[in-house]
Amino acid sequence: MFETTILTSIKKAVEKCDSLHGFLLMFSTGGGTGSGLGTYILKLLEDNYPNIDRFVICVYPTGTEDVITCPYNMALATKELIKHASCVVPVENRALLDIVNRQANNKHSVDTMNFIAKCKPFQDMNSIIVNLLLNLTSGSRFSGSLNVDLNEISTNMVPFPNLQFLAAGLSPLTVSSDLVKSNKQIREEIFLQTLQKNNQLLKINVTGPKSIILGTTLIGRGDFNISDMRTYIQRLQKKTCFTSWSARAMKIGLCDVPPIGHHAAMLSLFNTTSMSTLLKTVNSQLMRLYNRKAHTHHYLQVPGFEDYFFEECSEIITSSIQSYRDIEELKPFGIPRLTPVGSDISL
Amino acid sequence: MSNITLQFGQCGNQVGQALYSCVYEDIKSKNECCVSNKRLNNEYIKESQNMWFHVKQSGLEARSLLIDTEQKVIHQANNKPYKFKNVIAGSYGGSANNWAFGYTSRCLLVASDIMERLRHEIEKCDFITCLLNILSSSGGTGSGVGSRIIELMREEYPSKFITNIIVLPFQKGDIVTQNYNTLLTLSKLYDVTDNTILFENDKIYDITRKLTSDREVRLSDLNQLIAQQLASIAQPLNDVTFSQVVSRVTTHPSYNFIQIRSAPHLNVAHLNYELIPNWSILTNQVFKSSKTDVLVNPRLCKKIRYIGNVVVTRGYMTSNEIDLKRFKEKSMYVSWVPETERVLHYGQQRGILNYQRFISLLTNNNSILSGSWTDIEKQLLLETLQKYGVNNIQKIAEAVPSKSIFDIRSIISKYQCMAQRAMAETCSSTASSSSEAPVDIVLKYIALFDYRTDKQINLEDCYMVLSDLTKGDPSKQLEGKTAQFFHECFTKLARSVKEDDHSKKEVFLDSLEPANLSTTRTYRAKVDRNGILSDTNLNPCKVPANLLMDKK
Repeated sequence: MFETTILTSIKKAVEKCDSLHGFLLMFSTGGGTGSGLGTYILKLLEDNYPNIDRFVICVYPTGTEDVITCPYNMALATKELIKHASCVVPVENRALLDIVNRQANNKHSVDTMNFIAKCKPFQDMNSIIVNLLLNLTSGSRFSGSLNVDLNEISTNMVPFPNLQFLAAGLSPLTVSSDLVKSNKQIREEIFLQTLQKNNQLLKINVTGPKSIILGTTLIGRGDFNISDMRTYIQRLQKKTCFTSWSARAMKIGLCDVPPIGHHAAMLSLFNTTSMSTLLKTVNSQLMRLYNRKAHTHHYLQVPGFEDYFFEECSEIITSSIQSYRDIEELKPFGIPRLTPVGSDISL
Repeated sequence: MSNITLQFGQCGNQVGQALYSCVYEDIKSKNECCVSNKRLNNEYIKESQNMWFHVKQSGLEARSLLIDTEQKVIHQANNKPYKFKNVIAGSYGGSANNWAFGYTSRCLLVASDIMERLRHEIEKCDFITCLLNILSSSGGTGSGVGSRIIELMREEYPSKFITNIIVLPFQKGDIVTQNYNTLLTLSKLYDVTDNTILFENDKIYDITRKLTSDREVRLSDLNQLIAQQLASIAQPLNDVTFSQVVSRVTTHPSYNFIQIRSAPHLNVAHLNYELIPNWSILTNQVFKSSKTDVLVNPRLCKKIRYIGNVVVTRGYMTSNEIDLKRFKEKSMYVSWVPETERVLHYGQQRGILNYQRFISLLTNNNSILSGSWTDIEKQLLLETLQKYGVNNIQKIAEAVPSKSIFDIRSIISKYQCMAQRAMAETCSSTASSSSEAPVDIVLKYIALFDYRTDKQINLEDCYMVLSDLTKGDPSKQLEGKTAQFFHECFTKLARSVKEDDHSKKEVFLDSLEPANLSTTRTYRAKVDRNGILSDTNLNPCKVPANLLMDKK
């Protein structure tokens, strides 16, 4: 209904830019407007501006669903994301909640306590996503000795067209740090924190034994320098599993300007196979409802929506999960076919 | 005589700016070693200014084009005592680390502007020696836009001397697509330009890390070092131009990748307190650094062959102070290089920057291939593979210290791939030539190529015997445990097959008897086909005659 209005307003905004980097879309996949209209606009953008990258930051309400039809919305939106987005950074509500809770439990100085008291929890959760965005776009906003632009991220991080979900890790997550000049130890701690489970905006373990990494980006802001980055890369390569071709797939960026209140901060982006756990949750929740055909009549009433959309959507998500699994199971060439061990041979 | 530089992309612009500030510092240097001879110094300054800058009344203007597809880096340029007038930087939002994107689409946006400005710049010079392109090969703008523009330049100015300065990325990753970009750039520029000076980030980083032991390395330090090495070659020499120096090294058009080695490298803060060693020590240092790329194990160090060397010395020296005998050894050079051309020496009595003496070596040799495997390394790998097997990469890495685990893993998988392909080809070719199933050949290949760790049972021999048996040829004698194992397996198999219900194969299976392989057998020189059937030595399984006959 609003298609032309939306398109013209996008067009107007685009015409004002002298260099269009990419579109940033932010929505939650739980509700109707975000998941439905958001992904529709995503498709519009792909049709009208095929060469411009579309970055999607979307909130998955897994674990904290507040809408009953949430699984449907989530799955249908995920399908559209897989098909049309060039990069997706999913954020899970429960991960955000954990981070916020942890911060509330921490002991703070009086100032920060007051600051937190002023904020409402939802604002706090949103501010985490805002931080993610700020760090992500820092390369195009500020100068640095190794710039990272948004479009570079999708070149570097998406090895195959349907594996475009990135896990983001942020550090530090506190509102402000002590204003001590950062030294090597502090910087290293920041780096290690970005890898930790607690600092991920998704409930997945990036450095765990099951996750195989397809691409990494480390964006250091503030005091980081090139020798830091090189040591981090070496540590990361020792610590985590890679496929045979992605071991050197590291992108590093340095930005001179740190976030307000900090001396150094780091954003890590991972394209990892453990992302399939998120997709699995989405799919299983969809199937749980759809097997009973619960609430489907609301969707089927809408003109233009057919029953097979659900199945198609589940199919696409499963195929995406499968391609992650394929990579997990990808072994280096030439596995010996016969390796007799002692006398344990049974024929 | 002037050089025009074209700086592409973020890295190119940073290095270029470092180069200009290095040259500027050198010109303004008040150091004793530089200003001791007034007449000489004035000449040098005049020449150098003319070389790099366009001298105007209002000040110096760099003979340079700054090219980028985004504006952040270039904006930092203009707070210097000299001006960069030619800035071609649309804010197009970068080239996304994508060579193809830069080469085809981004380039269109800037190409005409660049060629126009370049023409202006060339017209300003009275005599132009060299067009110098500075770019990194990993990013999108430098590599993609750079290679396209350089191609256009070659079309426009076919006889001008074009030299590239290419910064190669860190091996362990900077950008994920760096290998694609680097390869595409180097292959494009190989034919088009006269020569290319390569700087490896890894090597430069190693040197700077030693220099800045008191603090962390910044990217600007790397740029500084590259600029210093470049300036030491490119600053005015007594009677030769930069292009002459460089072309003396690249005597053969197909070998045009060159590197720079220099000495001494000292921490700037320590420079005032440290005595710069004399010429012979410096020569030695440079010689060593040119020869040993892999410092781990001298046995592994590949034999380096030179095509040409040029030694440039800056600083006061008497005529016989420098000894280049070590560079003149015949065995180090490719055979077609004549003796007089092997190494050339150019001197400049004035020092450079704050260095009293500075020596740099422009070298064209095969050490740029150092990533590949030498024969000695391969031999070592083979030995260790036999010792530890393919799975114990850690042990192999210890035994082959010059290679990383990744290298080893990749080369093993490469060889395995090759072996498998060879196997598949041979199998398929034999299978297609004869209508019979090549069971014996397959078994033989298994025996030859399959990998086993078990030492007690020699499965290779078992497969070999099986292969021979299926062919009907006399087979090898098995030993001790292996024979026992083979025997057991065979009996088990025979029993299990017999117990199954295979009515069709009954004739064959009934005639099967447990093989008696432990007895010694003698081989005849000629095997009589019919004789095999009756001889229990040659046909231990007593395979029926009609099955062994050739189907003709």
